[in-house]
Amino acid sequence: MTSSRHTRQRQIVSARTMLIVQAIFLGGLLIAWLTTTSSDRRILAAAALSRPYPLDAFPRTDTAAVVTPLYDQPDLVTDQQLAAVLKKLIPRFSRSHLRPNLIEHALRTWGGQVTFLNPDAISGPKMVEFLTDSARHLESWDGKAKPLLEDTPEGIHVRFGEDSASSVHHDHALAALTEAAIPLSSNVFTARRALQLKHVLAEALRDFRLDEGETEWSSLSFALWLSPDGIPQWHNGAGRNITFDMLVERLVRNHKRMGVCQGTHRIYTLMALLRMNEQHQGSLLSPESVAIAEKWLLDVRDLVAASQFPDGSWNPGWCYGAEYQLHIDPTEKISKRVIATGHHLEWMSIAPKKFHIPADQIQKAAQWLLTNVQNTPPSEIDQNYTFYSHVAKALAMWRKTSPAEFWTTYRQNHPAAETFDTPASTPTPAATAH
Amino acid sequence: MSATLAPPSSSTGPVADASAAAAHASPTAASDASTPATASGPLALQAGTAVLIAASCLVFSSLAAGRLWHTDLWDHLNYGKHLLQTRSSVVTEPLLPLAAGIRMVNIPWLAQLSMKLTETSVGLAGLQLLSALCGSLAVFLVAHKAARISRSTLAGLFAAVIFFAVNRHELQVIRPQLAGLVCYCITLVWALGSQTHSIRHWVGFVAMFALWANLHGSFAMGLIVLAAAVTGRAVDVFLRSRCIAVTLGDHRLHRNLLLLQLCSVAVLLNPNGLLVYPEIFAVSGNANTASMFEWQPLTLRLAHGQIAAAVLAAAVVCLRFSPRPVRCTEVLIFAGTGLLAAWSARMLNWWAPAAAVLVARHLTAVLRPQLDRLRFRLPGRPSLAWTTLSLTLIALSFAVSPLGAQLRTGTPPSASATLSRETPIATARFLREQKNLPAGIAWIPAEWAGFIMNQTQLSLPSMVNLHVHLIPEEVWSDYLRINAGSADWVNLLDEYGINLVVIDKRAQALLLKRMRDSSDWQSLYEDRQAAVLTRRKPL
Repeated sequence: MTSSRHTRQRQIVSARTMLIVQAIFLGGLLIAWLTTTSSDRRILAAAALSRPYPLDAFPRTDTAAVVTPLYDQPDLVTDQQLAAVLKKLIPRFSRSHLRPNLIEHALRTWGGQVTFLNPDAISGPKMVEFLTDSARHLESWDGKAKPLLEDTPEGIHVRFGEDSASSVHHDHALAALTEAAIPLSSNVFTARRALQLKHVLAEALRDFRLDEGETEWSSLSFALWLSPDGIPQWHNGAGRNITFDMLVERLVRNHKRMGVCQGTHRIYTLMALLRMNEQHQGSLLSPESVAIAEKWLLDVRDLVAASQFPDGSWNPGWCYGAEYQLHIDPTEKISKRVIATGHHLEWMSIAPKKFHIPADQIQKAAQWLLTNVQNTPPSEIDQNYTFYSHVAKALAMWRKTSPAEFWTTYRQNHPAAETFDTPASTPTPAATAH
Repeated sequence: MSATLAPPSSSTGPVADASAAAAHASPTAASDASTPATASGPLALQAGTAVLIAASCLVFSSLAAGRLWHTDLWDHLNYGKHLLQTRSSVVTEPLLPLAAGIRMVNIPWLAQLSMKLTETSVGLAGLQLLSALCGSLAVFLVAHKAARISRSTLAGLFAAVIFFAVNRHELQVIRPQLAGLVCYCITLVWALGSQTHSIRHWVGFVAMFALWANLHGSFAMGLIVLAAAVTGRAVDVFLRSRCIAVTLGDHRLHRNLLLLQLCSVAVLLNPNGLLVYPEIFAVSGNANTASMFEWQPLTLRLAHGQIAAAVLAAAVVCLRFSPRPVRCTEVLIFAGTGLLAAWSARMLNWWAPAAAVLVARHLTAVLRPQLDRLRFRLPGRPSLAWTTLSLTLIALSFAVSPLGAQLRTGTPPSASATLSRETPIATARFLREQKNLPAGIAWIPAEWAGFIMNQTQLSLPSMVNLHVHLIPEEVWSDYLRINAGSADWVNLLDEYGINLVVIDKRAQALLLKRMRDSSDWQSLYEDRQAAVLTRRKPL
């Protein structure tokens, strides 16, 4: 009897024991939390709340860095020649069913401040408004399209790759706004909320995936926004740590034929990354990544030098170097050459000389472009506006200026510069989606 | 059974059940009592225990003679090697370039380190021994518990056979999970047994869970078993007392709950701290695992699915006719792990021991009258002779194991005798001997990636390995498309800058055919099992 009671007493869990165990339990959890790194705490919070990993890096400055052109070569393109090209690239689009892709290219070329005197032309602020105000976008599409800007719980997602009313490439709209020097504090209106451009950038940093199809525009935007603050890495919404070194690896890993615009935007973005890294005292890239990028770009230089057509142009086969002739398609449209040639001159305008092909080859390429633009009717240029916009920007940059800056000055002495003989035409979607 | 308002005493557990059953059994039953050794000293074993040790030795010999599996074992060894080299825990995935920057909560780091140290010190035969030790120990624990609660050695043998038959597939694959299985079986036999709470149990369980969380993610299954013990106890008490106050005041319920709390906080003693909890769900819920054969639902098309179905049918019949009472805890564990196994075949690993104990216990109870008629009874008295016999069997099992043979002869067994036939030994040797392999990521079948990376000293980075939850979804999806010989294989290989492809001729026949038809690729090596192709012009 006594033994049974004694056993029973041993089985009873005393209040003190209960409290001690609770203290150990809660203390253990607390110590574990306190010894967890801030990054891991974010992972825990994200997992507990079923939310994306919160953003841990964001620019403090309101304006993005600028990759400035390095050369002013009037022998390559004269003022008159440049003016003639720019005049053909003034954005005179129909306001109805206006495709974001067109505006993004025009904005990237002309910037957000330019004001055209011709009422048919869309000035910079209007272009910015179209991309940042859902009401303007929907107005153009008679309210029959899905909004370009989509609300997410944490920011704004720019719809892409779905239809003509959406952007074509992931983060292309952001890159266009970034290159057009639009500040992060600029208003952005979705169908429901008034936010700012910083919410677009935040969403882009969060939803970026290293292995998605196109990383050129995202990488360029991130470099321009994060490099001024020397931020070399961040975590995306899945909690993956993304560094600019990884972006370099990603941009150089594919076959050179792959990527947006025949692979040429990969070159531009890599060159911009190197320039930003140099501009900000190597804070963006490790020396190993710089070496990898430089080696790849030198390789590109050699391929480009070996693949130029006798007339000065390049075709999509530029990445095969001297074997480019094996990749000539007799049915190929001339616009394909405009893409390759315009884009190659564009990236070379921001590249140090060691990445240049011989000067006479650059000269021949510029001449080919000038002749092509001169001989191409305005209606055809309008049909291929996105391709030709790179030509305009490239030629302006070889004069160490921007189209807007040059045009504004030029127009002062040429009052009739924005007078056109022909009305504006509407580009077709097939020809402009690149 | 009459209802009572009094809480069930601690003697109403399985020990009491067993006593009650034993009282019904005739003295001639084919059983022995697993009572503590007394007269012959603490080292004396009963004949029944010796029989179960003999059965476990058979399992040990069978597992030790098994070849090392060619799949994720090598990934674990690679991570173990990395841990040894860096002497620090990983934060992001360290071996796969395409998984760079992805947070790696490497729960089984201690198992990986132990495996690598074993391989380094005694060779591959040491890994076979480790695997066999874990597998046979798990079988012994389950068999011993079944025998103990049934008071029948035959029940122990039933349990061993059922466990081995259902789980043979998992027992043969050497991975940290085997260490987790041993811990799980210890927890399970406690939960299905008397659920005693001595100081030894408190300290032992807390220490084991702390260790377990560094060996394998299956510590979560242990916590589930403890939670089932809490819930099961509460339900059992309530069903008897029909009183919530009595249920809430039950002392064993309190102790079970405290043990669950202590064990759940003990697992935080690991390099990743709290992250081990979300990691469990991150792995099982990862989209990539849906394409893994072993993570798919258990079906009757699989051999182990058919065996599991037979065991399930036997369990239903046994439970229908068994005179023994059924405890809620065993039902919860049996049903819970069964549902998990139906969800994912890999979870069969945790159902098998629970099913083995349950079926053995109730099958023995159903067959008790027939067994009694056999009038066969093992000696019940503990004896040092049985201990000696058991130790001899264990020593013999070790002696005939590959490691035993290696120690006797001084010669390690050859790779071809140790590794599974699917292991690309010759291909790996060829790649290891090459001095000028093209740079960049190589496409290697995920099942071979670990072995080839291991044999080439991690100098040949693979697109993927079998830690699929660490691989970006896009990459894994593209890997699968290449693996299937998709028509866009050229674009996919170009996309990742892949210059070298290793092909399993049996699994990637279409890809091999397409690559042979391409003028951009050339054959570098080929044997009956594999082919290696490289780009004529590397990217």
